Amino acid sequence: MKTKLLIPVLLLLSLGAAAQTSKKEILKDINRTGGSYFAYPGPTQKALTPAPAGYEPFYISHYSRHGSRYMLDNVCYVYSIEKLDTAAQLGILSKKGAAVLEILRAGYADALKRDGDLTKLGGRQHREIAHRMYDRFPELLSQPLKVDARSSTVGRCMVSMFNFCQELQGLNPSLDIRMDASRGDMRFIVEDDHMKVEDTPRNQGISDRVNRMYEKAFNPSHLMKLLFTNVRKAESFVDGVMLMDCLNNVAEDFQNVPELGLSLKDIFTKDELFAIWNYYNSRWIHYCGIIPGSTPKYKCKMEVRDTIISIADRVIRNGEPTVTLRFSHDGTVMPLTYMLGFKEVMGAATNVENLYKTISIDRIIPMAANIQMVFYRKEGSDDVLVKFLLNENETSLPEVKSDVAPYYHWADVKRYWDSRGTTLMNR
Amino acid sequence: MRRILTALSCLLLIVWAAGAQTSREELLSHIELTAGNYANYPAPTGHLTPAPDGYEPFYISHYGRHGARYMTSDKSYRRLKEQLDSAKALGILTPYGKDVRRRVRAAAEDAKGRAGELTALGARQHKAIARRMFDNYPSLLGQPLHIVANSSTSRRVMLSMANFCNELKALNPSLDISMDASEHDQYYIKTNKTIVVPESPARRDLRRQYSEFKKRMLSGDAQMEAIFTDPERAARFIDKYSFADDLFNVAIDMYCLPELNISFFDLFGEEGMINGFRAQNASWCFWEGLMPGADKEYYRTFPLLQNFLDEAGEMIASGESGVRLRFGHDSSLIALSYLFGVQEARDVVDDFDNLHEHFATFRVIPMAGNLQLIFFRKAGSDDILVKFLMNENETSIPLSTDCYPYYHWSDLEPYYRNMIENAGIVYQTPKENED
Repeated sequence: MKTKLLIPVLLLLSLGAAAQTSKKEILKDINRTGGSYFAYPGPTQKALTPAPAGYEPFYISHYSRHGSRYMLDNVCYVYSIEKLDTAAQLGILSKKGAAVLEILRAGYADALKRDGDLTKLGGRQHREIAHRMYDRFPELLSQPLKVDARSSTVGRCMVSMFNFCQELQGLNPSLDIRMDASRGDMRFIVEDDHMKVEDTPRNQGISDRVNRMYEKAFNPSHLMKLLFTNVRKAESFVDGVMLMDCLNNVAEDFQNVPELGLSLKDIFTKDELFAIWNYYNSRWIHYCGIIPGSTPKYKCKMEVRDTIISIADRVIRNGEPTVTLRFSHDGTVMPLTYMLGFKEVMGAATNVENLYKTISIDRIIPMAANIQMVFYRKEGSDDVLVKFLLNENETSLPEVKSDVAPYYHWADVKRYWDSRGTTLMNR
Repeated sequence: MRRILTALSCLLLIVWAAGAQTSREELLSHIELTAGNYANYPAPTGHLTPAPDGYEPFYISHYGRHGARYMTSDKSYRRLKEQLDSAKALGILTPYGKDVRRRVRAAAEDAKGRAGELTALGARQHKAIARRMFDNYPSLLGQPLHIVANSSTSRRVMLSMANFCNELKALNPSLDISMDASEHDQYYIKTNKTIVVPESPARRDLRRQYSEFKKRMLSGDAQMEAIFTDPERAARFIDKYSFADDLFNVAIDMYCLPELNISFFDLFGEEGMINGFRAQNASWCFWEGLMPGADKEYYRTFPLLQNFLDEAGEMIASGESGVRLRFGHDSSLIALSYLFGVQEARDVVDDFDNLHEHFATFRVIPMAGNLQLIFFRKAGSDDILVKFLMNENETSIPLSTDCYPYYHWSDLEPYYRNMIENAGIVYQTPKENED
């Protein structure tokens, strides 16, 4: 009995080692504290591992999040501008506060009527990813292929798709690209929103612990002193926690509109930025149902995963080289990586404060996040190999053995996914 | 023989598209155009008058409607299915009615989850228009130009834009095309609902006439007779007018889905199709305010006209070259065509019975319908010439010119700016908070 328990623990430890993140590392690139607002950093891996001799890529299955976007609404701008403006009229806005108000006004003027829209940077991110895909797999992508591109029905996802596809089209005018964004497809592309996932008995307790992280992270005392000359007076009309949350949202989203040249990062201490990032990190991991015992929300995305697998099977059977492109949201990319068993999302423990040491969302769902599965075959052989890229870096499935890592035999992967699917759906 | 027939029908189409007047014989020879604003985009004549000596195209300003689409809602399908199911349960479907029911169900099944979405044909239409634009102006579009494209936030429109732009990119990979579909640009891309529409005193009377005319054109009698063994019994739970209206909408939407191979033409016949077209044609003229005496709904498209003028002015002043693409809806395109006063969209009359002889929706707002302004300049001269294309055919505007179909920018700019000035546009406070 004891040994039975020990094995999974050991397994968890070894998995965690692969993707460990420290506070120092996060703070090294301050933009990483944006979490899901982190603007796509591009691949750190410049050269990919060559395929075993004789294997050629014949299919790419690409699943991605929309690129950099504006905030989903302007509530954060409106609240913080209103409060700082009131303080200015009362004569209690500090010099720094006045400078912040000016920055907020400039950001708001740009963001007005662009709720949730893809930013210019967001368009560039997808063009660049497409360009690299072409450069990395020219033997496949220079052919006159049929490309099946589908996106979520949300505008920023569609415009991401347009940018990606147009870049490919320019690189290879003979591509026959079919784009669509149909409500009828959303179950297979984004999620099954009719599926109801019952809360687990332990979920509330986990959620409460994550909420406590919020309370700790959003302590506005430093910020209030920075912005107002009379904090007591300011507190009579300002909800400090809300103001801090709003300003943090604005500050993190600024990296997605770099052409504005605006920054608010300096109104937060590094410890604050880290605590806020850590909270959002845990919130996300909890939201997806990845923490043991939490509500398995990922289930409504299982059909998306299974569709990716069945399309790959169909392409392998048909034998005709092709590319499928999907454009969606962080809320699907994150659970997908989990359901596929990528090393970056494995090993979540129940200690919510320390989750970041094993999983950090800025590695998984920055703006324009993507999963690429590249399929290879060899003439005269039935063996199909597949390689996985997360945000264009090669990654691994720690629970699948391979004699050709980072490549995997499709048959092994399929067997693993079948049983993983069953396990995850039974939770 | 078949080739001759094809050539002949092409020729007929050319004759068709060229004029703005519509005769019954013409309609009979191209019955598919009775689909009106659901009509497949008619191929342009291909006739383009060369620009006067020394003039080169440097700017294209374009407004295009989305391509072929599914019906914007599945309400018609739902009603028809319920009505025909009930009739089946009561045992009052004729054998022909049973067949109509089967076809309605097949079409509804195909449309499931796709209300309002672009069809495969819709994407092809936009690619073809883009390709012709490239072919017609290679000196302009062969350059490494910057192209700005905006669309409405509706998905069929966004996908129309993407298909159009991808085709251009494939033809010239050095094009730098920026695409966007943001609330930020909707004030001119779509009809602007914050503009007050001046009310017309004649509206009431016209509306009554319109209702009567529509009931006469789409009475539903023939369909009730053909589908039900006991039309009187059916009439107890089916309103024949809305029944005919639903069936006609489904019938014309089939032109957007050629791959389905379903037709309801037999249910209406030539006469019925023409009458259905006349009803819808009148509806557009009445509701959009093109008809004298109707409310001037087209006022809501003045920002689009203004956008055409302002951006053209900036482009001319900059001395640069470019292409400006906008993708939107029939309601904006019909109003813009009317405001520019192109031949196809002026001279609308309030005589319902003869209206279609003067104005026909399929000339202005077929699926993928578009208006293009092509700008030309000459080295060493300040003169700018503009040509108007309605669905890629050269057309006229209500100004005189010494070089038709080209017009001097110096004549047309003040004309349209005065028009906007004199309109006295009033914006009403938006009902919802803008934040």
